[in-house]
Amino acid sequence: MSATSVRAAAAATPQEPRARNSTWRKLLRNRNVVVGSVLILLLVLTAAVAPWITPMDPLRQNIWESYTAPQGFFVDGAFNTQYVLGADELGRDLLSRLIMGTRVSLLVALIATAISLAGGVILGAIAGYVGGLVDNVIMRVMDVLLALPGILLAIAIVATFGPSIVNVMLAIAVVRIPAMARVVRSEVLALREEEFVEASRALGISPMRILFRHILLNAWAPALVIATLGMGTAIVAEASLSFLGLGTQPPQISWGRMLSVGREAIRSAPHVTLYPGLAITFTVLGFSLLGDGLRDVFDRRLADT
Amino acid sequence: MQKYRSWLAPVVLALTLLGLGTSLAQNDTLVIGTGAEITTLDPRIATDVPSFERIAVIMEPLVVFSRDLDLEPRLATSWEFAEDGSSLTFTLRDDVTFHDGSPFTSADVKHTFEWVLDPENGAQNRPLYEDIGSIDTPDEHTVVFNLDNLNSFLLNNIARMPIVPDGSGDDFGDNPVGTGPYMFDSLVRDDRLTVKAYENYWGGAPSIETLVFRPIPEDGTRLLAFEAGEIDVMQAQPVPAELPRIEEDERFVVDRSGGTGYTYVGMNVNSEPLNDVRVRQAISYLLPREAIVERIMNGIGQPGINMLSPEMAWFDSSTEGYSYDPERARELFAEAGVAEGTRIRLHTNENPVRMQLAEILEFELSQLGIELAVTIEEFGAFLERVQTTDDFDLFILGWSGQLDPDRAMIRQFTTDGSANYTKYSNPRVDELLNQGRLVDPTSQESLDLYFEAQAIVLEEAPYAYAFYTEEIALMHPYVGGWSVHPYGAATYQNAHLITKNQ
Amino acid sequence: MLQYIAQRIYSLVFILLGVSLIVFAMVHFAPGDPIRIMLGDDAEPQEVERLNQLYGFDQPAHIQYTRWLTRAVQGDLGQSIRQRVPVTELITERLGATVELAIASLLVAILIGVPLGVISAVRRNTWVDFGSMIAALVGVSAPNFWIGLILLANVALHVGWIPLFGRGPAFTEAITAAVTQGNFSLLWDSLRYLLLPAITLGTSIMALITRLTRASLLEVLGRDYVRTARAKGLIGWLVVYKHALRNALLPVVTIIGVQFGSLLGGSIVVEAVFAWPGVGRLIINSISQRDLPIVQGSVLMLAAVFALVNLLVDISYSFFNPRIRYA
Repeated sequence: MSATSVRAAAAATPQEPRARNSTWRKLLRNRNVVVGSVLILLLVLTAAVAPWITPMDPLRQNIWESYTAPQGFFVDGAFNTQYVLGADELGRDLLSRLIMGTRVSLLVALIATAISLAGGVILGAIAGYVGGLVDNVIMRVMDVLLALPGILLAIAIVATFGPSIVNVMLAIAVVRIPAMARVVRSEVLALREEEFVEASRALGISPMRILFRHILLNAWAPALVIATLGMGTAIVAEASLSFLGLGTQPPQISWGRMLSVGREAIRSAPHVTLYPGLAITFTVLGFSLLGDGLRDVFDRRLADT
Repeated sequence: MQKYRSWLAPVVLALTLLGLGTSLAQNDTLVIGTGAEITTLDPRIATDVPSFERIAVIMEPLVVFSRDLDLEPRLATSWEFAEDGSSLTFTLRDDVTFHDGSPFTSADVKHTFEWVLDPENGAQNRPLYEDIGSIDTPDEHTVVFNLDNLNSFLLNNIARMPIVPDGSGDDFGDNPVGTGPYMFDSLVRDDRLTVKAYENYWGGAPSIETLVFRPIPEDGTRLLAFEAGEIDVMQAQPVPAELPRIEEDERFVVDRSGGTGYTYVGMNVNSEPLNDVRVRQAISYLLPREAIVERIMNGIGQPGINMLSPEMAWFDSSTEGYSYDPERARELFAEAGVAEGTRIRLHTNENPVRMQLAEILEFELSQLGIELAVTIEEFGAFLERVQTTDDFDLFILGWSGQLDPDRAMIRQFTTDGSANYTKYSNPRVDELLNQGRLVDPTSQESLDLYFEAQAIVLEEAPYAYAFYTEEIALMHPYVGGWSVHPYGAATYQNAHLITKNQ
Repeated sequence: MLQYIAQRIYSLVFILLGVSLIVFAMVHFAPGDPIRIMLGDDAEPQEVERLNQLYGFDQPAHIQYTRWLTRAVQGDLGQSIRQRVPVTELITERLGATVELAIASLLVAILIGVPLGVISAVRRNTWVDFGSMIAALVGVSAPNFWIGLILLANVALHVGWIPLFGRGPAFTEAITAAVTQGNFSLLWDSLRYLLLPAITLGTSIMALITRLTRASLLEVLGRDYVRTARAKGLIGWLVVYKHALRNALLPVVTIIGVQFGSLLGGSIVVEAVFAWPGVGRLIINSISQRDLPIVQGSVLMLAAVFALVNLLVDISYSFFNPRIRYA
């Protein structure tokens, strides 16, 4: 997502308890935040209890049952657990795989985002706070990375280091570091001149302490917004890598892989792509809504209007 | 338009009305949809089937493979090995002209093969012809290949090399000229190759004025384009999952022919625990071949038996191969002392069917308590791993164009074979396969040699054979005079006979 | 102004230098020997060695890099190993297709995204606002290749005049024919072929444009002169159109440059799905064939196009809005 559009500033420092309450109220009043959070909570919940709620063994193959059509929850008036959403190309239960896939897809997104967040915050903070040559070098390297189309960079990383779930996460993370670093840097640049930082400096507090205790603490809001939006992008990126055959590896079950393998039968067995596709779409939608909502709430300019 | 119901129906209807009057049907142009783009139109440096199949409408070899995989005359009318095997003489047609009007003569043949054999030109196919020592042209319509070593199967290799005109240089591929039924017109890479009928073709003028080859990499898109009638013939394999639907549909014709290749699981015979023959046999017992062919391939191909296809004369029809027998596999693993929890690696590339095979094997092994670590690599990296390193246990690959037992075995299973990725080595097999080159391919002796060799290799199981391929083409009923060829590169060698009546 | 442009060009050179270094390093440390892959199963060691010498792959990396770069600066990106054709030729014959698709996608994104953003802002915090945002977000939420295949299987297959694959006449040629000869059939053909790929690729950045339009319009609507106009009794939509939208769209222009890059990247997937003969397909093919000169050359070229577009957008933006300072 764009770095430019996030020009939010954190709520004023140090916060009064009442101000904090009103932030919560704003969050709960924001439709995007609420809908997005509900979607994501559902997913996280599914991921947490996944192994206990799969109706069938998600790895159990029965090739003779390949591409079985969805049977629904009720067959002949009785509750059904066999192939509720149909079977995939190897006769595995689609619903069970979808449920287990929540874990891998969320994990990939979460770790990739965490890495890019850490990398972006560290690089951006150092660049913004130290300034000068260091700033120049870091940001020029970021510019170079930004000049390469993201998916291409990710392809190159995975092709070079070999496809594995770890390399997929790394590739997605590296692609997103520059945007993150830019946002954090501009926040730090703005905050560096604020009175409370000047005051801390005058008090002789060490620069590192100022940076981490005071400045970064106040730059978290835009970083959070970007990270939330990034979770969605990461899930789509994993699917794109899977499309090119460079995603997660079997027997790991990721939605991206289910979607990309299933596309072979998009006309004869559309259910095999429909459900993973919808799962991805709703998840990314959830993260996007939440991210947008958070920005609305934390963006002071908008809040004032 | 077929009957169509969907939530998108109103959109579709509106869009249809919007574009009324745009029509595409043309009887003088045949559009052929394929999977991959060519790499070059110069047969001397081409190595891939997509290039050769399209080169075959522009240029012709001396001899070609018929649909029964027998050699047929083409630019040569007859050929003969010398009594002692030291030379091979071709008599050429005298009524053939190149597209530029110049006559086809023995000088063109000499040039083509000498160019390939000149190491300076870096022709990838040189090893196929290195038994040729020199080439003589006693007259305009006779060519003599003087052979350094006897190789009974050299003719098959000569059938793979279309003739280019004498004097063709490095840039021949930009504007290729041949003797074939169609003349090169234009090439927009990744978009279309257009060829025009050659009215003076010696085999009779083609009935369709223009052929257009369109590469469409995405399987689903290619099939949809065929269904929509945007391509007339779709020749690269259709998606197996969609085949039953297409076969039931009266608007389409499905044409099939036994193939010349197979897909297999290769095993590194040096790596633990695959160095034990029982482990390799056990893995061979774990492929549910019937189910794979029936459900994964939807009836395309046949369950794999060994490295020779059952259509080949050298295939020993008493061979049964390995059945699907997990219990037998369990026993063999136990005998070999492979403990539960053992970890074996498998590498392959992003080919959909290979990935499915990998997942099937992963599941079957997991049922026996053995962990299979699957890595799907990008094709280049995968190939390098298998070809040049020892850093793998199992891999899934395929062979195509296996027209004779020499091509199908000597590179793969001799100790120094150029494609011996499994590092398989058996002195007896080396001896048999080298001897096979020296005897008359039609003799009983040749059969005996290859029967023995295939039995040993099957028993020692460096490969587990999954399934034999099958060539499949889809076409609209208005296309005639054409059928798919078991040898992919020869698919369009009789392009001048194709008709279209829409 | 001139100084600003000079500075931007200077940093552009630096960026391209960095890109060239990264691309070269990735290509050379990736597993997969190009010569071996080309020669295939029958490769003989001496043949591999000889060709490696011929293409200079036996030289130390830094020498290969400097040699490649020196030639690249002179416009020579080397020769394809496989096809034995100059890389520049392979790229230039495809670059037009990729850029055309990216621009068309951008237009689709703007044509749908801006109205959605306006509706969203004007009806702020209503269900209309929410619905518009969801509509804009669906495109970025669903993977491109899936949307593409769904459009092909459910729309193009049944409509008849929407092609399922490939590219029509180049748009530039088609528009020339339409203007100079009054021949509109080429233009129609060109647009037909562009339609689905552009929608598929365009929806992937639509959300961003909608979001930004909404945000900046809200800001402008809050400004004094707009409030005054409203107070004077001007009708809502007229205010939006006459006073607010023009100012609100300026920030949207700025992100076009950045988005162009992600469109170029996204084209890799979309080109594969729609058999669009662009640079993306060239790159993917040459990666699997390890045709290193093509990979290096085309990635560098894409980065150059992207950087140039950014530069042009920034410069034109400064013309639109003279208040911007060049720091």
